[in-house]
Formats: sequence, structure tokens, C-alpha cells
Amino acid sequence: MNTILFFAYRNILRQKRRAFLLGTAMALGTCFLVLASSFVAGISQTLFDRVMTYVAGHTSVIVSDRGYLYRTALRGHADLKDDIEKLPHVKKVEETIGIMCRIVGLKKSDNAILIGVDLRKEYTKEELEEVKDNFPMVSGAFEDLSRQDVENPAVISKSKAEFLGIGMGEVMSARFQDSRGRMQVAKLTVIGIFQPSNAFMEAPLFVSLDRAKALLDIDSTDLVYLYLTLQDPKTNAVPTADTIQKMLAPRLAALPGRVEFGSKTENVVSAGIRSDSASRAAFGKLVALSSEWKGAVAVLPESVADRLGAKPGDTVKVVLGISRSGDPISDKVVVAGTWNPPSGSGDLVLLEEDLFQAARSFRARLPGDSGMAQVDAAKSVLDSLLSPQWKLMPRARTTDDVADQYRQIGAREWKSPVVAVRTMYEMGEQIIKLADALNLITLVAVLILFVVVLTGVVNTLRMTVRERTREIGTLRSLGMQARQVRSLFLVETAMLAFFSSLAGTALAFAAMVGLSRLSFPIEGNPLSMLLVRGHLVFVPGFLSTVGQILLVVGMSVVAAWGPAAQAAKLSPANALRHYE
Amino acid sequence: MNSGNAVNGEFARQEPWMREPTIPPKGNAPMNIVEIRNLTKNYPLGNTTVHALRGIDMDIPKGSLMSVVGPSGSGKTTLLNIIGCVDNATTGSVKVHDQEVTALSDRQLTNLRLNRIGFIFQTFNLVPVLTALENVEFPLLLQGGRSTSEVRAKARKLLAEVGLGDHEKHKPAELSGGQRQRVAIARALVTDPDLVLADEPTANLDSETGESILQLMQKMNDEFGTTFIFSTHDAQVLRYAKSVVRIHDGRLVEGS
Repeated sequence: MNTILFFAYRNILRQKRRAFLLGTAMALGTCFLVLASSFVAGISQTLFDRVMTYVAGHTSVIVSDRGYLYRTALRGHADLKDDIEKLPHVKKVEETIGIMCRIVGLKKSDNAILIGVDLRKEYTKEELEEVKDNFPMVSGAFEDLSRQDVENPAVISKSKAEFLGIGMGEVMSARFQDSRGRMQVAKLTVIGIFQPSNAFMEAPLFVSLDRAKALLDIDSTDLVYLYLTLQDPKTNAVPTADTIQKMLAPRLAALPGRVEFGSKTENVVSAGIRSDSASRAAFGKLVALSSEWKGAVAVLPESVADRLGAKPGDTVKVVLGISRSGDPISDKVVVAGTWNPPSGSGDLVLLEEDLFQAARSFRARLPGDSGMAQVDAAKSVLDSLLSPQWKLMPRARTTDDVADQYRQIGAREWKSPVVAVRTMYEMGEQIIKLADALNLITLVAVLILFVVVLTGVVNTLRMTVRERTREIGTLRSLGMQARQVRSLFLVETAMLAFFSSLAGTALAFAAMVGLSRLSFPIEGNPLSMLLVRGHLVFVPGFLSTVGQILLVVGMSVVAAWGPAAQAAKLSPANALRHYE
Repeated sequence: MNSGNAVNGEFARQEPWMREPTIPPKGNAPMNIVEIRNLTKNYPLGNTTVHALRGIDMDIPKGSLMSVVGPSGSGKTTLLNIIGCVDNATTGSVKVHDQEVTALSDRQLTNLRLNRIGFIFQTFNLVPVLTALENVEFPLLLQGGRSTSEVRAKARKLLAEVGLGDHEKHKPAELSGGQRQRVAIARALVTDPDLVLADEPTANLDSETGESILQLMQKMNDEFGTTFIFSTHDAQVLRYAKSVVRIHDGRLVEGS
């Protein structure tokens, strides 16, 4: 083999001009291949690691209540976040609070999203670099969001600040609805302005996560919308989402409370009875109702009714939570009937679902046992009529599924909070399709280019075989086997392709350095989502580059096979007789 | 440089693809190195057939220095090609070193050429990208089984024998016609072949150089006992041959 290698090397040097031209074509082909593939990988990384992470997360847990997103919470379920953080492949779990609000600046007003930033979290160096990349500051710093000397410090994009007519240190007001459904107005002080790295980053305003939670009246025990950043998101997003889906299977909802009638008070546990027509009808068969099962109605345990002296048709006061200031909040409820709770259910008061779930969502819970055991015990009788902790949406598979689920959430089809686990694949199906399309277009374009280059390889080799026919005859006469002749031409081609593709790869890397230094405008640029701080991003992978070099060498060898086999088949006598 | 010496050892060192049981080992050579019986060779040429050889019978004893003489188109080259196993007979029997070559595969024929036969061509046919020394080394490298230093030493010795010891780094294009043919002779002899075939070795040389080449072949024949068969249409060079066969229109007209 050494003889073949040595001889092949000398043969490449024999016709320097031809080898140079063919090598240049191969090098340019490789250059385009590496460049295009690195560019698509760059786009893919931008989409997956930057846009998708900030827009949808690789995987996300969506909490919605009463048709609202981002500003709602699962009360008392913050522990689920800790469990999710412990899952394999999870790099980061971020609580996301987005408050759709109207911002009134000094010149104009505009709609905006107020996003909470977790300042207590210890960020890795890589994450800080990522933040710097995505939010290069024009003035101020994200760390200033923790300042206590100004009211609600906020960071805003340069374009948004210019539109609103506000600058550093100036105050704007935000009008929004909090998690309890109340309209709120807050003053925000601009302490930082950043240059958006792409079009997606222009809209949001940032406040600290703690302040965002406080503005929305969400406390530390509540679970909010979670964005997960994963290792190898393309592989792990869906399995992780499926695992979380299983973790989030809801139990039956319970709420401690008390019932007051006249001067008497009874501590109870309450459960919700679903209010859809089928559930109402089924419930009517189980319990004799004296009034329609709609609105502020309740079924009391007979023992509680006896102790209170209340009977069907009476109006009792039900306390299901306390206000922010700690005062009990009571509702007047009509007793629609009485029932005998099964063993273990204790004094279980059954409430119409709308009232029950509203109390769970909008009020702080009364102290005491959660009452979940009593509700579970009632399952043997009431089965599917009991209201769950939350509605867990089935896993969406397509963007259309997601759109349909958003429509259902918007239509408030469920009285309970809604939880959905999503991945970037459903959330950003169109973006991923765009990345796949770019990959495909690049591949096709490069393959066409290579067909042209390889046609050149075939033609050049055919010409070479013809020119060297007598020499082939001589070599065969001297004792070179036919397969060694074939190997000689294949090795010549492989060597030329290898060195050319190395040169092409070097050229591609030089081009990447040059192109990534070019700066493009972001504003008004439809391709800005593919840019990072106005620059093209190339992500050349070591393995993919090695693979591309091997692909070029492999394709060249395949193309050379025909002419090489033709050379090997030559009869020595005929080859020796050959004259041009 | 005796072909009967290191032969068995060399054969044992060959790479597996070179070992062919059908080729007898050197050292057991029969009296006749070539035996040809009723050899014909036809070439199709368009709708007609060219009868290049029309029933050749001949025996070539080992150690011969034989000349095949005849005009252009008489079948000299065809005969040498068939003896040299680079072409096939149409009919008849050809034994080289007591081996019926018409029954051998391409691979076996190639092995036979590599190990037993040397070629010298009219147009020298040196590999242009290799130096004189590398050209001589090349058949040894194809044989394999030797260290680089062994190969180099043997090639250098041969080049010195043909008087080109100080031209080993020259490429063929940097050598005169006579020097090229000397390199070709060294290349033909480097594998210690039993038989060297030279097709019009002096045709592209001036008479003085041509004679020096024939003298060299004569010297090698005398010193090493290598069988040389050379074709020529030049009656002037016949005096160097120990035996002569004349061929005309594909038939032997003189000699055996």
C-alpha cells in the first residue's frame, strides 16, 4: 500500500495545473458545504438556544386560570418546580411571569410584556455570557433590577424606550390585571436600556421576578409558568415533557373552610362538583337538590346541617379563604341539599365548581389541614363529579393542537386551572420547519454543486486514464495487478480530495470569521431573527466538519470508481499498443 | 546476481496475493525456458481478421540470447507479448518455465510477469514521475517483502551495473535515450528474472548507443545466465544474438 500511496502522490504532482484546478473545484465545493452547514447549524442554534429558549423554552409547563396565561399560578404547588429541576437533562428551570400591560411613557403609550427576572439565582458564566449576548446593555445593568432606592426598577429595550419617550431614571406607569383578577397600576423606573439582539427581544420590559410576583400577588409557594432549558434539547425535549406530564397528574381538589349560619359556625372541608351539564345531571341523581345546581349553591353534610340548624333553601355563609390582609372572605351560598358523606370524608361540603375554584385561585387559603384525604374518600361515591386540582391538557403534538388548546383555554372551558406541558416542537413547529427547510435547501444546493464537481472528477480521470494508457500497460507488464491499478487511481483521487477538502475547510473557517464580522441592521430586517446582535452566526461542529471531509473524499472515490475500474480492465497488450 | 540463489527465499517473502501455487519455484528450471506449439494469434479488425501468428512452433533454451527478426507487421511484437504473458494466444500451447500460460488467470499471469519475466520496450516506457532509481526499485516494491534499504541497495547495484550509478536521482526526461534504455534494462533485471523480453530495444537509439545496449544485454546474459529474447528488424544488430529466428507474415521462416 505504501508503494501505491507514494506513486499516487507523485502522480498528483505530475500534472500540477490539472490537479490544482480540480483540487480548487473540490476545495470550493467543500468550502460551500462547510460554510452552508455551519450557517444552518448557527441558525438552528439561534432558534433553539436563543429564540426558542426565550420564546417557548425547550420544554415548558404552562399554567393558566380563567383563560389567562403568564400572570396566574397554581396555588401552593411550588414544590413541583423542585421536582422538575431534579429530572435528568434539565439544565435550568426558570419561572416565567409575563404581565401583559399598557405602558404609559412620557410621549406615547404602548402595549408591552413585563417579564420577571430571577435575580437570586446563581447564573453560570455561560448563562451570563448568553444574557450579555442577548441583551447587550446600552446603559445600566440587569443587576440594578434589585435596587431598593427606586420604585419598581425596570430594564427596557432601546427601541421601546425611544417610542415611549423615556430615558434612564425616568418613570413610566403600567396598567395590568393581577393574578386575583384585580386591575392594578404600578410605577416603573427605567434603570437599564439594552440593544435588542434580535427582533424577538424588542417587546419585553424586565423587572425582578420577586417584584413581578408581588405586582401580580403571587407568593413563593405558588407554581407559575416554567421554561426549561435542556441538555441536547432536540433529543430530550419530548421525553422530558412526557415525564413531566406524568408528574403533573392532578389529584382531587380540596379546600378547608367554614360554614356559618346564624350564630353557629362549623369547620368543614369543601370540594367542588363539576358544573358541566352531564355532571350536574349525574349529581342530581345522587343527591336530592331543592334548587338548580348553578352559581352560589352548596350541599351540606346532614350532620353539619343539623348542627347549624340549616335546611335546604336556607342561605348560609361560607368562608373559603382570606384576603391579602388576612381577613376572611365569605360568600352567601344557598343550601341546595344535604348528603351523607361516606366513611372517611368527614364533614365534606360540596360546592358548585365555579365558586369553589375561584376561591382556590383568588384567595389565600385558610390555615388547617388541606382536606385532600376526605375528598379522596368521597371518590367512591362521587367519582368523576369531583373537581380536580387542575385540568391537565393532553400532550399537544402539533402547532395546530396547541392553537386548539389555546382556544379552549381562552373559551374558559374548565373552571379549574389548566396545566399543559409543551415542547418547542409544538410551540415552534413553524420555526423548526423553517430550520429543516433551510437544511434541506442547503443540502440540495450543495449536492447539485457536488454533482458538477464530481462530473469534473469523472471527466478528468477519464482523460487521465486515456493519457496514461501506455503507462498502465507498462505497469501491468512489470507485474502490477489489475486491482492495484484501480487502487492507484482511487488513492490518487482520494488524496487529492482529502487535501483539497482540508484546504476548503480552512477557507470556510476564514470565510466564517470574515462573514461573522459583518454587521446587519436588526430593525425592520425580516432576517433579524437569524442574527445575533446584527451578526451572522456560524456553528461549525468538529464531527460534522470531519463528516463533510469524509463525504467529499467518499463521493470523489465513488465518482472515480468507474474510470479506475476502466483502467484496471485494460489488457496489458492493448494498453502497450495504445498511441494518442 | 545469480537468479538461482535467493529465489526461494524471495518467494517465501511475497505478499499473500502474490503466492500462486501454479508457478513453480525458481531453481527447478527445465532445459527450455519457453516451449511453443502451433501458436496462432488472430486480431479482429473491423469485419476482417488479422492473422498475426499462423502456427508457431519453437523452443527457447534457458540462457539463450535470441533475436527474433522480421519486417514490421511480421508478428514479432505479438510473439514477444504472448511469451511475456501480456497477450493471449488464440490457439496453441505456450509454456514458460514449464508452465502452460494459456491456462492461467490474469492474476497468475501478472504474478508470473512480476517474478519471472523482465521487459524492455522500444520506447523505454519508464515511469516519468519516478527517478531512475525509483523506476528500478518499482518492481521490487510491487513484489513486497523487502525492507526499503534492501530494495534501495539492490536497485542501486543494478543501476551501477548499467553504468548509471551517478544518475539515480534523474527523472527519465533528464536522461538521454541510451541512458533511459539502460535504466529500463536495470528495471527488467532487478527482480532476477529467468527471462527478459526486449521489443526492438535499439529502434529508438542511434547505432552507437544501440550497440552499447546490446553489449550490455550480452554482458548480462554472459554474467547472470539470464535468457534474453529481443526483436529487431535491423540486420546490423544480429551479431550480438547467439541464435536467431526469422518471422514473416506470422510464420517462422528460419530457426526454431
